[in-house]
Amino acid sequence: MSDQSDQTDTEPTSGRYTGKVAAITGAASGIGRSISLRLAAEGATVFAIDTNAQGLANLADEVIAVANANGTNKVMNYRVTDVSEPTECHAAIAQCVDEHGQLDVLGNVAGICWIKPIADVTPEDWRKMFAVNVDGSFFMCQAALPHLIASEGNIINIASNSAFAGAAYLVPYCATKGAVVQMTRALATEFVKEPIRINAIAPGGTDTPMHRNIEIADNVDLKLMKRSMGFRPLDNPEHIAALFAFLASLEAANIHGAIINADSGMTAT
Amino acid sequence: MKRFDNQVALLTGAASGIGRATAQRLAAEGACVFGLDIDEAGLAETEAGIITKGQKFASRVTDVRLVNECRSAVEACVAICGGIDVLGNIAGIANQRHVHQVTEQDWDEMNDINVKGVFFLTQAALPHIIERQGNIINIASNAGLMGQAYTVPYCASKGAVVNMTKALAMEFVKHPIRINAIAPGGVETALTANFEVVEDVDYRLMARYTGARPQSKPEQIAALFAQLASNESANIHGSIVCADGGLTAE
Repeated sequence: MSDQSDQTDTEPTSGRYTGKVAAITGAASGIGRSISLRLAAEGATVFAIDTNAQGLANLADEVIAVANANGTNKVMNYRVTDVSEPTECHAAIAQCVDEHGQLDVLGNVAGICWIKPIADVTPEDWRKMFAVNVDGSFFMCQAALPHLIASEGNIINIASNSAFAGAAYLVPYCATKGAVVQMTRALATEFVKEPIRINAIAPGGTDTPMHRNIEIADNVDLKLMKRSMGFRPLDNPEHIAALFAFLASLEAANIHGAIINADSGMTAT
Repeated sequence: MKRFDNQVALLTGAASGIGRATAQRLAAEGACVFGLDIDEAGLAETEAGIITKGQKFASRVTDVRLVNECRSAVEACVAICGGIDVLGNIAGIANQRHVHQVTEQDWDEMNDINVKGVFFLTQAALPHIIERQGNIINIASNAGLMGQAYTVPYCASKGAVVNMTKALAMEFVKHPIRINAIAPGGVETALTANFEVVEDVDYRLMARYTGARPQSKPEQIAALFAQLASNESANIHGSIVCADGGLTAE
């Protein structure tokens, strides 16, 4: 047990990730971006993955600027990757390990969401959501597992409270996040005898571009939608990043196969 | 600035195990810890370990089974430390019995400590925690989430803690406080070291809840407690956080 007594409310714990390499999907914005910044600030080398090249470049600039301001040098590599393509997942992990020599943490953060009555969901919509939210996490895990076992590392999947509560007009999203939860538990059980940890975080509504830009169809009953909204304000992605940083650290060595709800009470009911 | 500077943590079960480790951790992170337990000698040991580091700890011998004792303990904590930011309901007992062996006294003792104590200490502390915009963490167990053979009263009591946590979270969702629970699996404490297995035990049934990984260290539960009780977890409310090496994933 390391001495964490120098921790503060808002400042990252210095050095918890010194010498560690973290591959983070969805890193160009929202929760993925906050996690990347947090882990980098705690000493990690982050390998950022997203389809958004400009967002990745901006993240790299910010990480390097923060490091320079603190008088340190930082490498910030990234790869434009569509996680809905299994070959791309394998290529991204291969590049990360090739460039950094190891992988200690995989964060499956990339996800998409939209709000539509079920009659309007096309086969393409359905497949796209599963391809990003489920296939992406699965094939990233498959590619990363041998490297993570070698480093005794861990995986954190970002699920959602939509995995636990049925939300109107979010049927495909709820289905994908339910899949992420059960995939996390099944992986945890399959690898319970290996030196690796696999967990998930299930956020509620979080103030991210995904949430702000969410497409809401015109023909929805807002009263039904209100049932899946909470009583507390939208969450700040930095809180999810703080939980991620704790859960992926050695302080959480006993936490495996857990789904941690971080949704301001939404799934308590 | 440490995460718990200027904060007061009221912890039950502080004389040993998870309670002591949590007291040590929060005191190291700046808290003034007010520890409760029925074990006076154990409280003194906890106190000595914390005070010698120049950190803050006070205590009161308290039997949480008694409602008046819960109220008096809260009053003492507020009088001595000035308020309450964090309440940790950690005191608990566990044992193995075949169902037919469980006496009324066994049942009442388990539920008086594990459930009634949690409720009435929470009831007494809530106004103070709301005043400080603080939070409560109950130590449940994976026994509150799964069936574990030969521990029916324990499972019932921890199931009660799990759902009490969620119901409290809903009743106070519009108030500026947070209420969560941690559900550990086996932890290296006196409670598990002194655990006596029933006669005629079917180990295949027990193996379903002993798990494939080593027991947790109390310090690991304390680290999670500190994370969850800190302002970094401002978005976590009504959650039951499993820390059991993968047991409840199955």
